[in-house]
Amino acid sequence: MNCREFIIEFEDRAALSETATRHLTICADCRQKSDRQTRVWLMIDRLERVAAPPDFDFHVKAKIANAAPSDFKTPRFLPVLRYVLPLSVVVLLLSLFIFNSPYFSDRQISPPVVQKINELPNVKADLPVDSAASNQPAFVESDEKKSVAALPSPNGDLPFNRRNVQIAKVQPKERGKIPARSIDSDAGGSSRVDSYTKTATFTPAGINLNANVANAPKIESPKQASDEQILSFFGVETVLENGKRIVKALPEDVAGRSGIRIGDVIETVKGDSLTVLRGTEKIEITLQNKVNKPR
Amino acid sequence: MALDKFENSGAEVQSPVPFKDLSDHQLIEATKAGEEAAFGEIMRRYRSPITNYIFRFLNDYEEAVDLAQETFVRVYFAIERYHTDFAFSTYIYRIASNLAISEIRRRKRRKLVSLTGLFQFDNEEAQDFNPPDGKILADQSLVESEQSRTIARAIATLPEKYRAPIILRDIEGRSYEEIAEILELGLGTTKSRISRARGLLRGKLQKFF
Repeated sequence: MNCREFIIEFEDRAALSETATRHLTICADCRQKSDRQTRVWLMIDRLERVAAPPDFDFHVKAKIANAAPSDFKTPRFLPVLRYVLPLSVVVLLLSLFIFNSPYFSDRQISPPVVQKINELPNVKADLPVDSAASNQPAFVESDEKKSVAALPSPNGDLPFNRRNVQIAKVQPKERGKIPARSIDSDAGGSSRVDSYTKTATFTPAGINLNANVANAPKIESPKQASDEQILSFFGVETVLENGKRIVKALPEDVAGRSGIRIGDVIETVKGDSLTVLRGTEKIEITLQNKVNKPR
Repeated sequence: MALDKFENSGAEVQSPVPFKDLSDHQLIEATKAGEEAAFGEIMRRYRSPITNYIFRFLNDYEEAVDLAQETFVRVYFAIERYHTDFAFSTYIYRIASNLAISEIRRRKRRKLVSLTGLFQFDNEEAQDFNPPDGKILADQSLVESEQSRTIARAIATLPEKYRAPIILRDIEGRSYEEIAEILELGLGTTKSRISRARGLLRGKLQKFF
């Protein structure tokens, strides 16, 4: 038996075993320790035990009678808070993590194909003057990977795929300069700049964006309006006589604002701009209606 | 011999005979059923051990009595939540320990320094404002022996984490397992704390060896 084992056995205050007694005879250090501890125990044993006073019960009953039970009850909501609060924090963090993941962030993009705006054909001509004139790209992407647009597959069909969807973000200084507008390209298809969502979208012609999307709303490609449709939009009624389109009737506001007259021969129509012949004079007129008031 | 008088008079207060032979758990059940006399029997069994335990903790009889009464009040109001998984003695000693430890900590927070300390030199230690109890101690036999007084003070000045285990083991005679349950410690921790407390106590009582 070593000294440690002896002390463990000795401190149990049980009768010492033979090996412990033998160790005690040979180990002076343990003998001294055990002697001192035995004296301490003797002193402790001599301590008188104090007793409760005779009016102890009376005071306890008086305290019970005067105390409100709620003073001694543990609030019931504490255990709830102990578990519910950390749990709700964990759930909140998990939900933030999940909804910020690429899977969910990609799903929020409604247009399937996005392309950097200055890569779109003829886009500069349709941009606002301050952006086009300064020859600065309206959208700047530091990471080329982010601005690479999805291109049609060789078979001409581009299935809806989240990996093909990219966002070109507007720099903060460009915010507010670019209104939402649609841009038609020569190559076909349409582009859209939305300053609110800070995205530019380009839909190539001939691509069925909804090929794999069962419930996605169908996007109709814009149709080229005929001259007659444009003129009827402004309320200008025309009639064809000998291959010439002659103005027969028109609203007062259009006539008053634009300067067009009944009897004018329309030569060309380009948007809201007309080229008319009045007698031998060739006049260029921009149609205006109530909605599109000049500023 | 004020305490002797208390002890004798305390023993005179007897609970009704039917509750005398019941176990602690049966008394608790009877108290839950509305038998006030059953709670009286519980008090009769534990009032002196709890008072003695807290007295050894604090070395202050009046405070010990007050905290012992508080212990029983808490037991009474928590009796509906009491589970019979543990021994009742473990439960009540745990409440008493917690109250005593809270009192020690409260005293530490309220520790004041004597104004005379302002006029002491740096090499003199400032004395805590802890005026001695001028009244005659309840247990006169305690003060008769210097040894008893010294050892009582020595125990009461042990660090609180060593004080409770050594009182429960060497004064109250509880087993290591019970002490571990009362103090909500592991068995190994309890044993090591008791051993360490005994070593500290031997050091404090060096002059008697």
